[in-house]
Parts: sequence; structure tokens; C-alpha cells
Amino acid sequence: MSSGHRGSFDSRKTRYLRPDKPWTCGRPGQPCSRGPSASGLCQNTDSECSPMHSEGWWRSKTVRSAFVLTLGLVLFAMTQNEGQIFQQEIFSPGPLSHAHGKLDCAACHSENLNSFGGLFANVLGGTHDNLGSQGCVKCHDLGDHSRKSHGLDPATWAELYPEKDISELQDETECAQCHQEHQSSGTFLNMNDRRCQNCHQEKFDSFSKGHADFSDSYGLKPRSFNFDHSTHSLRHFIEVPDQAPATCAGCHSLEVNTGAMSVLPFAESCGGCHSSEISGQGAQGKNQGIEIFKLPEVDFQTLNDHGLQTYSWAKYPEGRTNAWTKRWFLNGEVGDSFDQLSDLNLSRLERAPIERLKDVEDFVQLTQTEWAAALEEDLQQWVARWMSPTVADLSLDELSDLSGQFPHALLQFVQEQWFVAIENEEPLNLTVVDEVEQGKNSQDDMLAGEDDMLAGEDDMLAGEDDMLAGEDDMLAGEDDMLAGEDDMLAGEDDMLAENTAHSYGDRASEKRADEYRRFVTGVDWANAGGWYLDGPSLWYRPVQHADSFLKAWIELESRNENRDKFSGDILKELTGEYSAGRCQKCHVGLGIAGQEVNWGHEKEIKDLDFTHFNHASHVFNDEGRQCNTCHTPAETKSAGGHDWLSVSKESCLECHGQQIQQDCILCHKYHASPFIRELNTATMEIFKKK
Amino acid sequence: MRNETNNQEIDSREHCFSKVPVPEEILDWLKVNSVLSIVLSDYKKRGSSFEDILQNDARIVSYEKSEIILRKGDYGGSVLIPIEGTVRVNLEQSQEHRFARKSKLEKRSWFSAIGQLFKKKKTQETFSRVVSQEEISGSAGRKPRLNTDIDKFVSQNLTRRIGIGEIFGEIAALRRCPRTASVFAGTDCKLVEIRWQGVRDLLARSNEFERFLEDIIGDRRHQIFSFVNMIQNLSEDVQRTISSKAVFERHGSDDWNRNFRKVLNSDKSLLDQEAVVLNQGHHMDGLYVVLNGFARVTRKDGGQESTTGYLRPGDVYGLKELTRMDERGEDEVAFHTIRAVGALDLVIIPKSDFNEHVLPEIQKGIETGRSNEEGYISRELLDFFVDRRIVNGNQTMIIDLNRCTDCDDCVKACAVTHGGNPRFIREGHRHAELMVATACMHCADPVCLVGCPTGAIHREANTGNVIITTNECIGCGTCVESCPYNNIRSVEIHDAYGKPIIDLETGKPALKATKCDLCIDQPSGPACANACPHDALHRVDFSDISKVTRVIEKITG
Amino acid sequence: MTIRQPKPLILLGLILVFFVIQNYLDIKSGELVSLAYESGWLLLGSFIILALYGMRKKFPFLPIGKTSSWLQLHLGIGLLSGYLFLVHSGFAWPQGSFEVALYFIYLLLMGSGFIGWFIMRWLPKPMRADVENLHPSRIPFRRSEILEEADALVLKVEEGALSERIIMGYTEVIRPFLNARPGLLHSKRHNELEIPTPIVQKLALYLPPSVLFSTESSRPFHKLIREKSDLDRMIVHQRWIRGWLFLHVPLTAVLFILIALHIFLVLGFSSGGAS
Repeated sequence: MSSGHRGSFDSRKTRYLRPDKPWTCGRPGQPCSRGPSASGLCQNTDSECSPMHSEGWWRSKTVRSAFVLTLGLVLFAMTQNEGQIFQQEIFSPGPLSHAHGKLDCAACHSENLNSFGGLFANVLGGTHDNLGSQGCVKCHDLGDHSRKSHGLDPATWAELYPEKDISELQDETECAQCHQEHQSSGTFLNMNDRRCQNCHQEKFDSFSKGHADFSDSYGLKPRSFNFDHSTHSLRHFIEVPDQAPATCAGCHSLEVNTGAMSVLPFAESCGGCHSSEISGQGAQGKNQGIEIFKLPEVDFQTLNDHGLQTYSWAKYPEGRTNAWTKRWFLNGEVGDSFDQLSDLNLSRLERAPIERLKDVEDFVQLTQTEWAAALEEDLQQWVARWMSPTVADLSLDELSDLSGQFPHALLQFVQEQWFVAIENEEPLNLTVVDEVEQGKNSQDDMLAGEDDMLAGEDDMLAGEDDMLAGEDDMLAGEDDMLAGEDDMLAGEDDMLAENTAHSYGDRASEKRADEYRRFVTGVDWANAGGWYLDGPSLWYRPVQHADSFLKAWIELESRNENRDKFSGDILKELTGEYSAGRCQKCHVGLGIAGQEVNWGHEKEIKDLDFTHFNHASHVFNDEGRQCNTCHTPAETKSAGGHDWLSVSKESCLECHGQQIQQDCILCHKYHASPFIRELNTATMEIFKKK
Repeated sequence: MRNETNNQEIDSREHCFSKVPVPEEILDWLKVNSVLSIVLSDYKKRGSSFEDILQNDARIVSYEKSEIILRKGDYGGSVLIPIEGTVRVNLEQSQEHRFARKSKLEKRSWFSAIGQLFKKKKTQETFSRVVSQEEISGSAGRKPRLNTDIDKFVSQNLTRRIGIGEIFGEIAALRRCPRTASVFAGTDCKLVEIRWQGVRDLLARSNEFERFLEDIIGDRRHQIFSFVNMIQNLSEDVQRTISSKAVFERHGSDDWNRNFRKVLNSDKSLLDQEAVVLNQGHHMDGLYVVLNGFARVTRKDGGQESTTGYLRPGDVYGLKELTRMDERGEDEVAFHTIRAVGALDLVIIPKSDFNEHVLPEIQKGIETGRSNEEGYISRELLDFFVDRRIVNGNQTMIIDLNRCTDCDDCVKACAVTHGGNPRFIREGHRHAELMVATACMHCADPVCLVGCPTGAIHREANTGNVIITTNECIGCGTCVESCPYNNIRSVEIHDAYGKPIIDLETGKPALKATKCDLCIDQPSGPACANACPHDALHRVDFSDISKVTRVIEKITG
Repeated sequence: MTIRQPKPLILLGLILVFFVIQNYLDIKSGELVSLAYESGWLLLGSFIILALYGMRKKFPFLPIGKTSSWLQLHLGIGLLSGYLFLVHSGFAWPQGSFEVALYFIYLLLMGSGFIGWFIMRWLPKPMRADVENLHPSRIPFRRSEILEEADALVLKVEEGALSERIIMGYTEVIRPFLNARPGLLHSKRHNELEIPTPIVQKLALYLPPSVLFSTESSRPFHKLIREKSDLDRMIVHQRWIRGWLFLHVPLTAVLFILIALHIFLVLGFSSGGAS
């Protein structure tokens, strides 16, 4: 039995203890059996004690005080920020990312969250944008669909993957789901591999082990340049090595941020080899310029025969007029007259009735009057004569380009040349002999340039239809019009007749002819481009690449709203395969009326870019690493119409997969829209309207 | 005997013994006309006369017709002798239910249980109802009745009339057994009630009376066995045979609870103080059946005598020896020594009768003795339990001191469920890592029951728990004094305003006895065990040592 | 700390370790669908269950499971909530004043819970060895009794060469010690004399303790000092075993408010769950 030598327990004396009561008896010996009352008064009349609070009382007191204190503190904290109960520093779950360090709560979180009611309403049915995605896009512009997956319109998804179910992609995400703004050691500001895996369940070990090979990165986009890399790099550059560019940088400028290979201006890139083509160097006659205004051939003989006036006209017009000129006629006062005569072949009027002949006479007269009238106008009005009547709203810059800076003096000169005063009975065609000589000269020229012509005969054959009249001319010039003599019999006979009538003219006119020669044959003058007069036509010679006159007219006629019935022909004239300037050779898609012209010099920004290769960090342009380290030209064009073999994964594996990072997000970006490029290049518009 | 009563209050049922003197006439009448006359035949006056004894330990009680005088199963400590009227014993088993206690405490509903928390009582033991003076002084005591037509009942059922001057209730009084039958008043009647202390004194002074009573008891012996499990299962005639042949022995004193403390604190060792019933190595004369009281079983091994077990009411000793005797066919000696702890009431079934009649019947299922032979409980611990007579308990509260953190949750739980007053003290005798708290053990031998004037403290028939019916208790403090472990305490009661209710007769605050009631009205059962967060509190039943062993193992690890 | 039901706890522990590692890797890799939402609700649920244990103690009379079983549940869920807390906070330190407060209050609560668990398991055994058979409520009484006895004893010191020293030693050292209340820690005990070493050292200034305690009249001092130091140990033990709850339970109330506010803020500022 245990010894109870100290304070031994005596069951007789011990009284009940009541530990659940708030007060305990304070008697130093045995607590009395009665205990203090509930209000703390000693109930023992014999030996009064001073009751003490029991332990249980202290415990519940502590709990209660702690509760009240905390509640008080919390409520106090809520009142600290003026009016803003919840949106204040103390409740913030962490500092913002350092770029946003100066923003306050209201920048992102909506105002209605600052009241109990507002917050509670959101607790119950929270769909308000409380995470501030709307706040994000105030500064970060990511396009219209920034909250859809990958920032793309679901319709685009449907186009890309028509067979897949894209209903899920209709859901909108909040920016804050991935970009956790309030920083703590557990939050991430940006995407990382694991996050991609939330939706994309790709199952392979790493980039080096198991990643699929790259698909055709050049895609199916339409080319705007008819440039064949394979023929150039595999053939042409090898043929003319001194003119070939050393590296891709010879023609391209790599935009390191976007990976776009922009083409250097023509002069630096293609111009080295192709400038002469554009300027028509070596081309002869008609290949060098564009016939703008061509007076039609009128059968004056018939008119004379019928006693009608013959007026001055350009010497040796041939054939019918061209589209431009037709438009000129139609746009002017002479339009109606011309229109009436549209069914007539003006060069052969033998069988035309007298009335018609009279009309022709009127026509001729009106033409001259028109020209005279034009002289008194201004350049803009002159240009307007050439354009389709539907054209409107052209800026001064455009008109200037369209005018080609047509000099007034030339107008005057043309008038003197073609429309000599009626009183002047001087025969017109004084230059027959000269013409023969001219023909000789030109023959020489053509002979010299025969290579070109012959060489270009293939081309010419194609353009034979258009240049029929011209060809006859040329042939006439070449063979003394022998070959084409049959064709031009009618006219030529006339001409010869006329010419022979005057062929044995006086020496004075011959002299004058000599003098005029230099004026009239302005083609030599225009070896640096510009307007020149050649016989019955006004010519324009483009020499530079992107000649503004040509360019303006091509663009004008291509626009749908400016179309009229002549646009097609005009475009053909301008953009024919062998037209002066040779636009069509490289620029794709010209000459189709109604189609917006794409010269192809804009940056080709890929609309959809899920992967992003940062050339800046890779391309060192040293001997070891050049473009062709990864990009190889293909011998045959791909299905997509381009001439590069797609970059293979092998190029990357040399480094990535060894010791260098190979995260998904290194190459794959979430925000696929073009806007991410802008973000990456730090051209964010922070001064956009809020 | 005059039927008229004096104006003086004779109906002193509500008063304790020795408060109101017994009228001389009645004493005289008793001397002549009742069985007490036998006492006087060879009365040896030893300091007190017959009248002295009766004045001290007897009282007159009167009952109205149909009132219940004794209930079967109740504990009682008095004998009764009818003076007037008709007193009947119910012999019809099927009608016993009429006598059953109506005041059966119902379990509270959860709602009501939770309501306990919210009733802010100003102080403990608050009665929200009015506690009348009668209740305090016991004059408003319930008078249980048979709610039926008595005459019809008598005519239809088997009853026996107890004649004027005959004695009844002696079995329970002397043997401390439950009342063996229910007795009711057939007509208005008056009886003399002598409490067992008086009977004991009379018995000590008159051999004739002793013999007389023994004879009476002997006739009803078989009733005594009825609660012993082993014998109950035997067939009827076997029971009769053994009851006629059995030898009744009594050792120790019935009021062991009074000298318990003296025994503990004396210089002599406990073993010396306890009377030896059977010695180890001595001739085994039969099967020892414990009717009442406790026995210590010890074994001497090489000079050292140590306690190996204990016997409780209903346990037997000697099965092993007797079965061996039967097998080998030769006499056996006792393996252990049996000593009486406190009081011991034995029945010895002679071995020949046992082997002949009983053994064949119980071959099928042998109940081994209760002695602890495997040593799961350490000797010291067993000593502790037996010495302090903790083996008495059916619901002893044992606290594991290695787990108890003094949080007092058990005490708080008890207080919450009992109107602010916990019914036990979380302190008590310690032994090594356990402590027996001062909480009612709901003893197998409930000495507290004996002497309650109103029967407020009683033993529930179905559960065996000892419960005080509060509104029957008059606060006399008999049970408080009786309990040898001081597990019962008197408490002041208060009214709804928190003021103590004053007993007008004494001028002092009224008291009521309180003790653990095993939370019979709470939905969960004992709230203390339920509330202990560390599983440190156990209510141990010592009737089955395997249960005890389990608990001790858990405590000692 | 003794584990009373090792098997379920070990199993729970293993499962938790597995999940902790799994979740740690997931969260640190930055996955989008954060576990914070689900783990937050689970954490709230576990907090409620944990707090319910406190409530359960108020209803010991209802048959809703023994309090000891509830305690086991409380401990297990406490462990689980530790894991959930790690996951919920993303294995990271908090940022922002409010979140820092919430984080550390939770840590304090859980930490005090673990410390309390340890105390409740470890302390009872040494506590029993302190003073036998003395109910803690009687400690103050016994202390005053000791003082009285000592005062009575000092009067009985017989005249002699040492008496003055004894009395001085008493007034300067012994009595203040007997009067003093202990703090939160035990004082070291002298091996032989079994009284606190500081006292021995202080007494030595006046008289060697062995001499002091040798005389008949002064030997009882030794006993009294020893008893007082035993009582002190008991007081210290009692303070720890009761005191930790003074931290643990009020923090529950504090955290309750903070959690409510946290949920309010989180749900209020969110735009709905991630799909």
C-alpha cells in the first residue's frame, strides 16, 4: 500500500471539488463544501474566504478576449484605407510583379468589391471580372480574342482544325490564371512547361527524346514574289559568282525578333542583276517604253477624195488606237464623236458612206480642238483624261505619280508635231526617206538588239497579239517592211504613195527632217526614263525599279472601283510579261483587275505563330553558323509553293538536349496572335487610351 | 391488544429507530404473544435487557390496506412482527410485477440532456421544484401500494397469511440477502419492526431464539441458493437435496464496514486479523459456496503466503479439489487457504453429496473458480484490492495515473449531469500507477442499503446498480456512515433561488445523500468514462477476474 | 511521445508522405489548376472537425463516441490538416500581411497542438512521482503549512555556535525559497541532498548544508525544503499540463475569424473556379 505520508488522502474529510464552476473557494485549507455562489460571493458564514476564479473561468475568459480582440483588429484593419475596405495593402496576398509595382488595387480589381455587399454578392455568384483581366488589357493589347485560348478567335481554330471539336475553346480564361500577379514564392508570373501540360497532354520525355519532327514551317501562304531560291542559289549564283551575294544577307535582312526575312530594297538585292531588265537596256523600240497615247490611223486619202478637209495629224500613225487613247477620247468632248466611229476602221474608209466620212472629219477636227483645249488646262485635269471616270478621291501624291510629271512643253510640242495649223499646208510626212534611214538605223539597232528580240522572241511570240501592229511596224522597220508588206499593204501603199509622192522632195525639207529627227526620235533622250515622243505615240519609259508612274497606274487600274472596260487592256499593257519595266516578271498577281496589288514588300507577319524561334540569339553570321546551317534550298518547289526544305529538328538537337535548356516554352508560346511579337519586341503601346 | 392507538404518534414509520420509544404495552404484548417470547426463555442479559434492545432497535409501523410492506429483491435489514391486522406474503410469481418499483428512472431524451447544459443554476443541487418539509423529514414518504383490489387479489392468487406475532423478513435481515418475497397489508395493520442489529443482539443472548430462527431459515433455505448461479442451474430436487444437507457457516461480523478502518490501521497484519475458514493442506470437506461477504484466497509457497485470489458472493471454491477427488477416488487437501474478509456467509456442500449429485450435472460446463492463478495481476495489486475490499465493487472507478493529466474532465462531466455537483472525488488510494477513486462501486455486498429508513437507497433489480431516489431520501446520513469507502456524501440542497432549503425541524440546511448513480438517466451511460480524453478512467467489475485483468493489463501496458 | 495507436497512425503517416511528395512536385512545377481551392475546402472541413472536438467535450452525456476516440480523431485530422496546409499554401512562405498572419497563427495553433500532444503523453508519469497522494488543489494549503512549520521550527533552534548562522541561513535563503513561487522550469537538483542546487550554493555561504542539516533541530528543515521543492516541481508540471491549452484554445477562436475573412476575400476576389 502506498505510503501517504505527505498530505494523505482522507476520504472522510475530502469534499467534492467543483472544477466546472467559475469561482472556487479561496480557503487556504480544505475548500468548503458549499463553494462560492455563482456571482463570486463566499457562502460560508463560518469561515469566510475570498473566492478565486477557477481555471475554467480563466480559460473561457482568454478565449473570449482573444475572439473579441481579433474581431476588433480585423474590423479596425478594414477601416484603415479610406473607403476601401478590402482593397488595401493589408489584405493583399503579396507584392505585385516589379513592373506593376506602382499600381494600386483599383487598377485591376473592380470597384464594387469594396463593400461587404459587393464582395458577398461575388462570393455567391462570382462572375465579375475581379481578377482584373479587363485591367490587364487596358495596357497590354493582345488583340480582340486575348481571353480565348491562345488568344485566337475560335473561328480561326475551326479553320485550322475543321475536324476537331472546338467547343471548349469558346471558354474564356482570365489572365490571372496563368500570370499570377501577386508574387509569393509559390506563384508563377508566366507560363512554364507544366502549365502547358494542363491541356496538352504530350507524352514524351523531352525535346531531345520523343519530340515530333518539325512540320513545314514555311506553310502554304501565297507568295508575292516570283522568286525561286533554288534556281538562283543552285544555278544562277553559281554561274555568275562575282555578282552573286555572299550570304543571304546580300538580299535579305533578318528581323531578329520576329524571324521575318525582309527583302532588302531592290537596288541592294535584285538590282545588281536585274536593273538592266527593268530599264530595258538592250531592248529595242517598243520594249523600252510603254505606249501611252497613240493617235489612230485615219484614212485621209479617202477623205481627200471625197473633198473633205484633211487636217494635220501625226505622221505615220499605224493601226488603231490603244485603250488609253480610247479612254482619252471618250473622256473628252470628242468622246461622242469617237464613240460613233467605233465600228469603223478609220484606216480604211473606202467603203464608208459619206456621212460617216463627215463624222470622221469632225472627229479629226475635234481631236485637234481637244488637244488645244487640253493645253489650257492643268496637269491634274490632263491626268483625269486618262483615268476611268469613276475614279475619285485621289490624293495629290497619287495624282502626281499618275501624271508622270507630264510636261506642258511636251504637250505643246506634240501639238506642233501632230496638229500643225490648218493653214500650214506643209506636207506632214517629210521624213519618209529619213524613215527609211530611220528604219535602217533602227534596223541596225534592231539588228544589234536582234539578239534581244530574237532571244526574246519566245516572249514576243506570246505577246504577239498585242504587239501585232507594233510587230508589223518593227518588221517593217527591219525588212524595209518587206515581210509585213502584205499586211501593211493598204496603209503602206498609202504611205508609200504619199511618201513617194513626196519622196523626191526638196532638199530643204530634207534638212528640216534632219533637224526634226532629233526631236522626234526622243527614245534616245529617254534612256534615263520619262516621256518621249515617237511618231504618232506618246511613250513613257520606266527605268527605275518601282517606277512611280507605272506603279501608280497599275495600282489604280487594279482597284475594283476604278474599273472600266479599258482597265483590263491597260493592265495588260502595263503588266504584260514583256512590258517595259518587267513588273510582271517578279511581282506575282499583278494585272488582275479588281485584285488589290501586293507588291510583296510588306513584312510577312505570320498570322498564327505558336512557335517562336529567336534568331537573334542563334544567328551569329560567322563562318560556322550561317543561314544555311539550318535552312537548305530545295530543288523542287514544295507543295506549299516555296523552295526551302523545312528546318529539321536535327539542327536544334546539336545544342538543345545536350546541356542547354529544352523547355516547351522556350519555343512554344501561349499567346499566338501577332501581338505577342510586339510584346516580345517591347513595342507595347502603353500610351494607348485607357 | 387494544386496537386503538394512543394520541401519541405511534405511526412512526417515518422516523428512524430509537427516536420514538416503543410503548410499554406493546413490549409486554410482544413478550407474551410473539415469537420473541422464545427469546425470553433463555435470555442472558449481557448488559442490556430485552426492553433496552427493543427500545433501541425496534419501532412500530402501521400500514394501510394494500400498502406494500416488503418488496422481493429489496435489501432490508429488519424483521417484522405483525401486531394487528392481516399481513400477507405473495407466493404467486406471476403477480410479482405488481410489487415492482414504479419509480424507474427513465433515460432522458437528447434534447433534455442537452438542456442540462443551459439550465443556469445558481448553485449545485438546486431543486427547481418545491421541496416540502415532509419530503425532508420523510413524512411525505411514498407509500407504495398495490393498485388493485386486495380482496380480489387474495382470492385469485396464492398468498399466505402471516399470523399475529409471527416473524418474517429474517432471511434478508440476517443473511444480507435480498428479500425473498413480497409482503403486503391485507388490511390496515400495525407491525413491530426490529432492525437487524437488534435481532443480532437478541440472537446473541438467546440460543433458543437462534435455533428457532435457524429452523425457520432452514425451511426456506432453498431460497437462499436462488441467486447462486451454479446452483440455480441444477435441477429442482438436487437443489433440495443439497440445501437440506448443506452446512451454513458464518464468519466475521456483519457490520464489517464499521471496523474496516480500524482493521486497516491496526498494527497486526491483515492476514492475522482475518478469520481462517479453510486451511491450505487441510482436509477438503466440500464445496465452499459464498453466499455473502468476501473471502481471500491465499497460498503459501515456501514460507511466503500471498494472496492469489478472492471470492465474492456467488463464487465457489473447491471445484478443482473435488473433481480430482472424484477422478482419483481419494481424499484431497485444500490447495489454498480461505480467510473471511469482513463478513463471510458460507454454505458448504459436503463432498459426498457434491460428488454424487452435483458433479454429474455440472460436468457439461465447469465454471472454474474465481481465484487468480495465472498471475496476470501482480501480487501486490491483488493484495491492495483485497485489503481495501475493493473487490466488493461492480463498478469500481479505477484511474490510470500514467494517462491521467489532471484535466478534471471526468469531474466536470459528472457535475454537468448532476446539477452542478459531481458525485465522486478524483482522489483515492493509490497503488503504483493506478488509483481507486472515491466513487460508488455499486458493491456486490451493498452495506449502505441496510438501515435506510425510507428505502430511498436501493438496488435496481435489472442492472444491479445502487441508486438513491432523491425525493425519498430524508438525509439521515445512515448510508453515508455505512459506506466503508466513504463514497456517499451528504449535500445541502438549494431552492430555485440558490438559497439552501432549511429543515424546519433542525433549523439547519436540509441534506440529501448523493453518490454516483452511473448516470442511469443520461443517454450515454457513465459520463466520466465517456469524458476522459485519455482513456484513463475505467469502471471495473470485480465479479469476473478476466475483466479485471484486461483493464489492469491495459493500465500496466 | 508515446503513440497509443501506432498502426493507424503509421499508415496515415505513410500515405501522407506519399501525397506530400506528389503534391510538392506538382505544385513546384507550376501547374495551372491549383490545388489550393480543393485543399482549402478540405482544410476548412478538417478545421471544423478539429474544433468540434472542443464542442464534444461539452456534451459528455451523449452517446456520440467516447471522448478518447474523438481525441484520436482530433490527432489524426490534425496531422492530415498539416499536410493539407502544406499543399494549400503551395509549399511556400506567405506574402502579404494578412496571409502572413493567417499562416503563422495556423502554425502556432498546430504547433501548440503537437506540443500539447507531447506534453499530455509524457508528463503524467513524472508528475506522479512528484508528490504522492496530494491533490493539486491542496498545494497552496500545503505550501502555507510548510511555511508555518518552518517558522515554528526556527524558533526551536537551540542556542549554540551555529545557531546564529542557522538563523541567518534561514532568513536569507530558506524562508524566501519556501515563500517563492516557481516559474516554468525546474531547478536543478543536488544529487545527494535532493534540493535545488541554487539553494545549496546559497546556503553554503552561511553554512555547509551538510552541517546545517545534521543537527537534530535543523534536520527537519531539510525535509521541508525537499517537500517544497517537490511541490514546486508539481506546480511546474501542472502549469505546463494546463497552460498549453491557454494557447491552443484561444487560437482556435482567433483562427476562426481569420479563416472566415480569408474565405470571404478569396471567394469574393475570384472569378469562379478554373475549369
